[in-house]
Amino acid sequence: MYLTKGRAQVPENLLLKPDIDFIRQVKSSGGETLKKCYQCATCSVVCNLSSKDHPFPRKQMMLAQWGMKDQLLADPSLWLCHQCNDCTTRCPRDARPGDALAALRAISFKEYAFPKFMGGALSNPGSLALLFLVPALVLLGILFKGSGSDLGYLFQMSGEVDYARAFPHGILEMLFIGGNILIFAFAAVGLLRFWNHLKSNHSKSPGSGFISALISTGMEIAFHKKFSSCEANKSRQWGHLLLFYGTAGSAITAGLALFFTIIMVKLGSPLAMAPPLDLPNPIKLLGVVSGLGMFIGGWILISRRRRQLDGVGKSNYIDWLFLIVIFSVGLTGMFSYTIRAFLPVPVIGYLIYYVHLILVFFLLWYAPYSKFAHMFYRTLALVYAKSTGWDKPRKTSPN
Amino acid sequence: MDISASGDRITTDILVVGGGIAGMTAAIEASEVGKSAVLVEKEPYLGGRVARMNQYFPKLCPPICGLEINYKRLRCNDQVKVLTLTTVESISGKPGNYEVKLLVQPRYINDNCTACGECEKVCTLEAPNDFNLGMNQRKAVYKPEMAFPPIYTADATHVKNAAFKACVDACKYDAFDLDQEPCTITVNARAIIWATGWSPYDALKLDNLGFGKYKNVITNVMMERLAAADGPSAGKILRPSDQAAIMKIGFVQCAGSRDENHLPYCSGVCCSASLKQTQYVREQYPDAEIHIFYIDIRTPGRLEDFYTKVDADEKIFFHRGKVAEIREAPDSNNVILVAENTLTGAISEMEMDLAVLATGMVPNVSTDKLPQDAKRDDWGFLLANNPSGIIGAGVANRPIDVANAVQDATGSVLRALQTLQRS
Repeated sequence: MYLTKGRAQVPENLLLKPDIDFIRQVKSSGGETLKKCYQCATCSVVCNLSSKDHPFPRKQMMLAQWGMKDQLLADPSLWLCHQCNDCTTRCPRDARPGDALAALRAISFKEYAFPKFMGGALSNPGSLALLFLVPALVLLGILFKGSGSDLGYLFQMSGEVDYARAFPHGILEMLFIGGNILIFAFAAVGLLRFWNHLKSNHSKSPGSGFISALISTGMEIAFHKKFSSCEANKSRQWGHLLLFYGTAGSAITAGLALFFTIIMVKLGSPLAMAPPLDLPNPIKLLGVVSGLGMFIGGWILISRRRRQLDGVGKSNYIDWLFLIVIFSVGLTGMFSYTIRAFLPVPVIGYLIYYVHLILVFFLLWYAPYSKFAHMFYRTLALVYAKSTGWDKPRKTSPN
Repeated sequence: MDISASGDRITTDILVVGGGIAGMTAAIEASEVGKSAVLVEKEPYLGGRVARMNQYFPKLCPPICGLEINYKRLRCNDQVKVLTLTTVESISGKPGNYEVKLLVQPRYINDNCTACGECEKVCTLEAPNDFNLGMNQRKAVYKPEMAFPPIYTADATHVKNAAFKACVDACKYDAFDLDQEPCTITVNARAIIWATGWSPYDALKLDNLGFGKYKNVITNVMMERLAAADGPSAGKILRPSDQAAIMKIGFVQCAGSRDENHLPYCSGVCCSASLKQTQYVREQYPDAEIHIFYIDIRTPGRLEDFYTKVDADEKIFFHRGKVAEIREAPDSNNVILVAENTLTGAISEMEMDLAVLATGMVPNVSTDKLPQDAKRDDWGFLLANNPSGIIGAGVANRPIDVANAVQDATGSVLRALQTLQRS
């Protein structure tokens, strides 16, 4: 109907402008099976999380095949997807929609990153050494500043292990707080871009129900409700739940430790506690339980990915990087405490503690750009989806 | 070479395995150019899947007339030896000189049978009717529509039953021979044509489509029997759950086809078969709403005209999107078909009286006992020019419709003649 003799006349608004680089990017970020999709829409039907009015992932597969980058990066459905992989296991073409959507999310971290180069750095194995070097050097600086040339205590085979002597808590907590402020500011820039992008690409704008959407999203995350709708990848739920609460608990532990062992001490409050904290101190207890949660949860997720179970989906660089780092934070944290409290071999203890701190800062400082950022983007997308009614479920309960 | 039999040994030019439309065609056409053939069929009747069709697409004529022409060609031909109730046990040798062991199952009825039917009338024993895909029962002594020879057959599992004596007593022609045992026959043949046809893909494996769980989910081959005059409902298409009329029916295309988890290939006939079946429904229920859910409608060649004709029917609706979930309505035996309409982007849940799964064809040759060097492709179809020299015909070669299977069978005879010429 738009064709006239000899020359195509296509209205401007119907002209598709495929972004070929974007298609390549999706394929190289874990979605290499993308082009196998023949649009039968089995995926949208078998997905228990697919919404009534905006079914996915069939449409997203098509948009990705066509390189419709802007539309995809502003699509809340990417984040309604929790990679249950019911679509992937049922896909008649082995096009693996679950992997393609994971790739699109990975690209989102990169695209919304501020400063932009950080997005690239976290998804590029070539930058890994440099990324580790930054916290490693900062921590070495702290070590030399605090201990001067008197470093002999670090290399003893026996004796007291006093982590605070090597890395004074005050400085660490300053890095922790300062880092957090900066990180959240950077993350906020990315999130704001994402939010505006969401709004500008859809006619529906979030209504007045923002706060209630935020609360119900929070509740959903707290109970991991979406995960329990999964079929193929269902047992992941427990690993993720443990890791989630383990990480949250560890962050809370750090906050409480700051409050009671530094701020309260400075204020001369009777509530002040002298570090190091030991069991049965409740803060320490929270720390130990949380560390265990990270360790066990992380292990479940890692071993599921290692076994390459069908429902798990493809594991890419950013998946492994995030998972191994967060698991190692828990692991080295547990070791550090064990050595200080029960097996005091200073040389090993200090080394492990040093590694632990590098990992902690790696996790924290790069959170807006690594897969850790899914906690920000997903939460925001879910809030958007809830406040606009986007995510109205098709199914009331999985059958 | 003329066919010759001595004792339990038969010598022939060509052994044709499978008495469906392809096998019959091959045996008849070989004999009509002067070669002898032995035609082996495991059922007591010839015609195979075609005998169980209600109509052919796109002309919508009954297959029985074509089969009857073949029966006539067979009967006036002394160079084709037909062995029904017979299977192949083993094959040895090479092109030009095969030795094949056949196992013949007892029919328990001899040539005295006049097919008067007195035994069936008094018979009280029943078995699921395989001819109608188990949708009804038949007597323990029975005569399939296309029986060959046109006489009765008795079930091995029932002849020893005391109640069976009534059947024997009803026979005025001394046609029962309950002492028959399975026997082995050796065939020396110079060429082998393999035409064992297909089976419908097992719909029970499609666990999201509710077959076997919900009564009103049937397959396309069951639909053929429901529409057939000699079917379980005497040709009236009724809902299995309550034998009610059909007002809204959904056809589920690619049920387990073009699917890496099931049959990776397109059988190439299911689209046309469903289009044909819409016409069965249309004829019986002029007001019924008919819905076809598809990924692509594949109607190559002249079949496109058939599609265009069906598409013009204002009560036949086409939905682009595969049905990936079927569940039963909470308060009836209606079935709810769930698909995303990919043209509108909306998920549709439509309640139907009946859902028909268009399942594909699985080549029987994929599981047949064949010599090691009878190579098959990844999907189980017999490879052309495979080292065993066994020549495929019909769906043993690839998924095709009846007309193409007949042409393929004619082609297979030329290959067999080449084998004879070389040996």
